[in-house]
Parts: sequence; structure tokens; C-alpha cells
Amino acid sequence: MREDHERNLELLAGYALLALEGQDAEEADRLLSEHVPWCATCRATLADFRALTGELALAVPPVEPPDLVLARVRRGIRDVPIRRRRGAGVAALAASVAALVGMAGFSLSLGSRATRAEQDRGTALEVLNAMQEPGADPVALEATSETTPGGLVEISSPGFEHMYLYGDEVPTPAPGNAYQLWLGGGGTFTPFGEPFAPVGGVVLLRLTVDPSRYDEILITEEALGTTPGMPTLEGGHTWRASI
Amino acid sequence: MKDSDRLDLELHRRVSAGDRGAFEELFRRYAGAAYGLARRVTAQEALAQEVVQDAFLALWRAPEAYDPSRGTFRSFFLSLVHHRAVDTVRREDRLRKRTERASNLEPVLGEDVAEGVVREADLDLRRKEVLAALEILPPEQRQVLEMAYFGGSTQARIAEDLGIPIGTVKTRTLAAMRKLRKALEREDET
Repeated sequence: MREDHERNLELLAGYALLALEGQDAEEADRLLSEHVPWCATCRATLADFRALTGELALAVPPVEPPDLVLARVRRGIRDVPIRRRRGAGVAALAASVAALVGMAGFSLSLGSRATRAEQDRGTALEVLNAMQEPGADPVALEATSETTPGGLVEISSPGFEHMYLYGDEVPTPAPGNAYQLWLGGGGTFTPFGEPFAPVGGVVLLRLTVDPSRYDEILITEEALGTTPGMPTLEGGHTWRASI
Repeated sequence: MKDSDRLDLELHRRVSAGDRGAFEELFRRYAGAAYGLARRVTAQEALAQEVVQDAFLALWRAPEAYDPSRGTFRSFFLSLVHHRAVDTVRREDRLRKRTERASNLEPVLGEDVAEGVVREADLDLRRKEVLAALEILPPEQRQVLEMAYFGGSTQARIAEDLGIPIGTVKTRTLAAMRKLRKALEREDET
């Protein structure tokens, strides 16, 4: 048992330094999903190691960047204001997902099979981990209709190759319809993943995608069994956001 | 809490409210450290500039990503810069070029701050503490730590480069991180 824990700490050290690959990276992902959230020692150690990766930066002598960097940053903050509509922020969002994980019998599957419930719980834990990364970047999707209830948030984080979609109190689509996620880049939207519907108002999806390749996310309501070439923007609930 | 950490917290609070002046003050305080780190990891000026620019813009766009209950702003922000720098070199698939260039760089210990750099007294002091902590590491532990952190190498790559088992790299890395943590905790308490 003691040796296992030492092995865990080795993985956490490598993880904090972004130095894992292959099987070690997979093992660390499992560790972060299945063990760390419940182990106070590992959580504290990981937090310390992450803090060290910030402090170590100071070992390099500072170098003033060229003036053009500040000029670009100034231009950037002028063009990209703070996104005000971001849901409740990382901490509150994490609390919301954590509550979901802690719910007895939590499952997003209609059949509530144990294996599926376990997968859902794993996905929720991954979302928690992604949110704890430095630079975790949750983006609230805006409903295009003011009457659409609930909220959806896209979560991505540097170092994570997945994008997560989390929603609460999401309305059920009209009979015969399902939601479809689209990713946009260069003015074109591409359907991504399977059609989905909320279970008990909750949506929790994991998408294997590099978010940096896209600049917009869109969710539309589409007729089940069809393969839409273009998003349907009228007649159903829709959400969108810049990412 | 140290005065400098309190100052960062206040600046971060104002940035969260959309205060551009506070944002520029954070830029002034951390741009040098961020750019020094990004240059070291990417070994390419243009990439380092992108990393610093992206990190500051990410801070402006999502200041709530920093949660004060999880540590200092300094650690959060410089960790973010490190993350982005490593991501950038890997994404750009320029690791080979970076490694070739990095081999010409001086080791971290012994480097001094160039003249003309804006120096923050509190960051200068912390830098001395971090360097002192690195100096207490046995050379073989410091080597694997520096190859991973400043070189952006994976543990598998380090094992290959040094011709040692990957298990040894992992053991040395953990030992180094533990010693650093202990040494810097001691400094925080004094």
C-alpha cells in the first residue's frame, strides 16, 4: 500500500511538470479521476507540486519582452473584453459538478446501468480535474432565446485534450428531436459527436477535440435520425459561444 | 500573507472588475519573469512572445480562473505560463530544434539578471530563495528536474537522453520536488 502511494506521488510529480507520456499519462489520468479527489494527501501534494511549477519560473532571470508584446496585449484586451456571462465562475461550477458526483446513484444514462453510471461519474470527475488546472477556462454558452431556461458551460483547460460540456436545468428537446453540437471555424460549422438529450436536466459530455482549432461552439435542436448539413437556428432551443 | 501577495490579490480583484490599469500593473510585475521562462522553455523568441501574450490575454479574459484559496497569484500565473510554453513547443513539434538550441543555454544556476530589466524587489528575493533551494538538490536530481521543467522534456525522453531507467528519473524527480517543497516552505515560514 505504501509503495502504491509512492508510485502515485511519482506520477503526480511528473504530471505537475507536464513530463508524462504514454502509459504514465494514462495512469495519471486514472489517478486524478479515481483516487486524488478522495485522498487528502494526494490532493495536498498535487497542490504543492503545482505551486512549485509556478515558483520554479523565478529561477530563470527575468527578461523584459519587446515593447510589441505589451502593444499586442493592449490591442487584445481592447478587442476582447472580459466575458461577463460566464456562469458562476470556476469555484461555483466545480461545486456544482462535485455535487453531481456525490449524488447517490448519479447517472446520465436512461437505463441507469452500473457501467454507464460509473462512466458518467468518471466524466464528472474529469471535469473537476480540468477545472482545477491553471488556466481552466469555462465559457458560458448564451441561449439565443431569452425564454430558454437553464445554462450550458464549455470547459477546456491547457494540457487537456478534451473539451467538456456541462449543463444544468437544460430543457428537454421537442418530441422526435435531440440536441446537436457544432464547432465552428472560419465561418463554417461542423456537427460534432452524437445527438444528445439532457437527463433530469443535466448534460455532461466529453469531447475528444483540440479546442484551439475552433473559435465557436453552437448547440441546436435537430430532428432525430437526420444528418443536418447546416445547423437549424429556428424553431428550437439554441446556444452559442465564442471559444 | 506577504505584502507582495496581498498586492497581487488586490490587482487581481481589480482586473476581475475590468480595471485595465491594474492589468497593466500585473503585466509590469510579471512580464519579465514570464518572458524569461517562456524563452527558456521554447528557446525561440517569437514563440516566447506568443506564450506571454496568450497568458496575459487569458488572464484578462478569464480572471476567475485564479482561485485565491488555492495559492498565490504568482504561482498560478507563472504555472500558467509554463503550461502554455510546454504546450506550445509540443504542439509546434519544434522540440528537436528547441533541444538543439537549449543545449547551448547556460544552466539556470549562475545566470544573472540582465541590466535594464524592471526588477521587483519581492520577486528578486523569491528568486534568490528558489535558486538557493535548487542548489541544495543533489546534481542528479537537479538535472532531471531542469530537463523536465526548463527543457520541456518528458520523463521517457530524459531517461533516453541520460541513458538511465525511467524509474530512476521518476524517483529523482519526486525526491527533487519534495526537497524543493520543504526548502521553500521553510523560507515561507521565516
